[in-house]
Amino acid sequence: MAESSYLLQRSRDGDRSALDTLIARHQGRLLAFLRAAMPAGLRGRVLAEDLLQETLLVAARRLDSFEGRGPASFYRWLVGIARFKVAEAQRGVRAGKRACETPLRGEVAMVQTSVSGRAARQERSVVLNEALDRLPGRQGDAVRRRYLEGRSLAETARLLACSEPAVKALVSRGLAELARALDDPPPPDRAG
Amino acid sequence: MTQPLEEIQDSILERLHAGEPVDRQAALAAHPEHAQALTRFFSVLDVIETAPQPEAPVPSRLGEFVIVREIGRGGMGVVYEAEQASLKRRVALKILPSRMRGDPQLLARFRREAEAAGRLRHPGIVPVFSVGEQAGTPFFAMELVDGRSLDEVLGARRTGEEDGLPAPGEAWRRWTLETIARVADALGYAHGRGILHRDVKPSNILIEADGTPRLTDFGLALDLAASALTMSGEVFGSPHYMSPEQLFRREAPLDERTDIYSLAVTLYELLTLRLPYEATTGAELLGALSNERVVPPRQVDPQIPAQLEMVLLRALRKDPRERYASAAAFAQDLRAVLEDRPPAARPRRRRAVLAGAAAVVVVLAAAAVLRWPGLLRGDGFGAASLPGLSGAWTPPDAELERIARGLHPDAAGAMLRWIQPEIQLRHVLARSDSGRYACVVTFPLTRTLESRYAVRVDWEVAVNGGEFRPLLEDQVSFAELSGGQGGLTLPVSVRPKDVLGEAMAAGHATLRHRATVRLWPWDDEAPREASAAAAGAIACQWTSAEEGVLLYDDYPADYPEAVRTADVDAAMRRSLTPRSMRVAGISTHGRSIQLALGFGPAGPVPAACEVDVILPGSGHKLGSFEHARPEQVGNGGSGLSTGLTLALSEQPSEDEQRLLLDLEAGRTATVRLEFRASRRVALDQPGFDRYWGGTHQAEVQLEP
Repeated sequence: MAESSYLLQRSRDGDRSALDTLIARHQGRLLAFLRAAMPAGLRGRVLAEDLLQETLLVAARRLDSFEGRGPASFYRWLVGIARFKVAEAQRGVRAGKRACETPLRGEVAMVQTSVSGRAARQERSVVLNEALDRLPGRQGDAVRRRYLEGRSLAETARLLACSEPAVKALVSRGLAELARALDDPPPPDRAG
Repeated sequence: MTQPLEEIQDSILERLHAGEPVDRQAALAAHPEHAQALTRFFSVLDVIETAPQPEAPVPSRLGEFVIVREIGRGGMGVVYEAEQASLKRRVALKILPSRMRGDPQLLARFRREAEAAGRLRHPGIVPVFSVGEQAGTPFFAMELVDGRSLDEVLGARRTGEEDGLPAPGEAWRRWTLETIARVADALGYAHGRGILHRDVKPSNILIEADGTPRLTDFGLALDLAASALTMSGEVFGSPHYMSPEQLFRREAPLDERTDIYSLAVTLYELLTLRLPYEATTGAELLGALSNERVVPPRQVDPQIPAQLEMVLLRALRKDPRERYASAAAFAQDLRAVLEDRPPAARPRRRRAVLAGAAAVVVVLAAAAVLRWPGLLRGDGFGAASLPGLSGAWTPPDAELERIARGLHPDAAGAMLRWIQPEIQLRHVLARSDSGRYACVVTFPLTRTLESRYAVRVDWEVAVNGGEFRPLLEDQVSFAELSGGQGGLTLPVSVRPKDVLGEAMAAGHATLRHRATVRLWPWDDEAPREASAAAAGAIACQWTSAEEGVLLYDDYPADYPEAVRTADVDAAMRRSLTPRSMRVAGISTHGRSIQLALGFGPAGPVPAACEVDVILPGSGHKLGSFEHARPEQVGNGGSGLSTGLTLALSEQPSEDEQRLLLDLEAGRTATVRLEFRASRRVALDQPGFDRYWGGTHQAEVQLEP
């Protein structure tokens, strides 16, 4: 049995440390997904970290309802919940309120945020998004779909209307481009 | 042989997505020609996936308070031990959670409440010293209490740890009653000054070393109800302790009786080590509050005196008007129990008709099925645009998507229009254990929803030409429409004294009813709801029965006879007419098809059924679905829908390939559904106890 299936099985049986391990393997990418998926209007109001926290909490509690199909399906499931959380937050912000309680019953390690840390985190969201947006051609799309959303090669190819080898090449070049952009962010050319 | 870089990278991504560990050293060693590129690849992944960091240190100082250490985290923020520089005293400093800081209105309210609470002076209340703000971080300082919370006490009780308090039994009950009566005194004092606590729960009651209970976090709860239940239906914080009026967000302002309820839940938990309602999600709790009764404490622990149970149940009434009117009255009755005096709370007499094992079954002589007269409200969709009584409105795909995801600007209105709920007062029965009256509102739903909707039905009933009378607050049906749930049965409890109870006592009656159905997105803070109304009349006759009754799609006039001689297959066919199957999604990679499958429109669903989805050509079984909800036996289901994932073979047969091609091309395809269903029916009349089982086949068009 693949290690992740084993961890998933153990998690479902209530093994906290298995779940923590599993989540640790996905949460970085999931956070990146959230950063990239949050629309600009949301970024100033809600932290991706908070949405990650809520996503993981729902996942932990709803583990029973996860129907595993295929190796990447757990991550896809997390992405689904995360996407849902983004929509939820967006509606909350639009309604002029977002006062969702942070869950505190210890299901998932808390990620609290200090005032000073907040700005830095928002900045990181912005940087990743801008870098993704600056990627030439369909590279950004390929990186988002194949890497951040965890879609299969075939699905990505269909969405991008290109071949599977082309997806691999787009992702590879896109990530290399991102590495350059993130190392060396473009000068702030925006006024204000 | 060298592998192209992008191939290697892609297989690494594949492993990451699968949650498998990636050995970077091994990857570099295996592909020395790509070492540099792979190193860069890994480092960009690291940058992008910067995992969330632990809490950055909180400023070591806030105003004149120097933070010493963290002492706790609660729903309303983090609590630190701090030293107040000017007075050289230790205080507890509470900082609001970050997400509450962004809303100026919320902050203003927080400050107002904290200031009001700051004026409270009572030995049973932890005083608030000051309220302040630094760099956008609001905080308040209160007395640092040397003690532990009742929450911790409960934790110790549950694990059997020694907590220095009286041993379980009589001594523990006395300690509990004394403690809660003292908390009630403190609440009474605050209520007298017009201040509600709003968040009474074990973790907000601190027990000092000498046993003095002290309430903390006074008036700081804000609108927890609004935030405690998220759309996902998870219970955050502690809604178990919230009063029904808090949870249901009724329009009437909260009063002291909300605190009395919360304190009673706390007492219930202290006495029984469990909560009055079993619920793990917010939706379940709301459902329990709508449909269930509190488990009587003596059922959990028969040692609990009957008088105490009476007092507790009165404080736990769902309708605030039936609770103690003041904390003082509650405290008085608690002390009466301690002193063995008769409490003021009197048991209510029950009508014989609902007492004991006798149950009541309503047989409808005529069933009136009422449809929507049209949408009454819901901006953007006039009644004229409704197709009326027949045919379902099919929104264009893009719109459907937005409705399903809750992103539609008029989500509730569009949802109502889309699902076209039918409101049908069709069967009325009460069961011996829960005294239930079941009315049915059907929501045919064939698509998996990504957002949730709350459904609320308010009924007014008139008996034999009398006045319309609304059902009581806790008889309002409340449910959640979500996921693949299609048919909703909304049961209402019957009380001997209410309009339905009286009708039942009469044995037969003509019931006229009016109902309003409201629908709103589950998590909207300021719900934009849509509503529709229906009215109608039915003639009812009640007979006794032990367990329940299978309810037909259409009621024959000689209903009991029909049960006796029913043609099982015919019943199954009626109840299991597949309404529609829609393809919710196709994933060719996983070779799977997501289906939304609906039964109905309003046939009762058997207690258990299995459905196989079969390709007609080859007979290949694509998948199967099992459904069991034994709790619905006797209530009469009203249809169901489900999401189903069908997996195709590794080597798809010609049949399967054709199916996929058809679906991908947007053509309809045909599959065969085979049902096997069973349900136990037991009536207390001879010959009525039988097991029903049956199979039925149906051809269904799969619509893309």
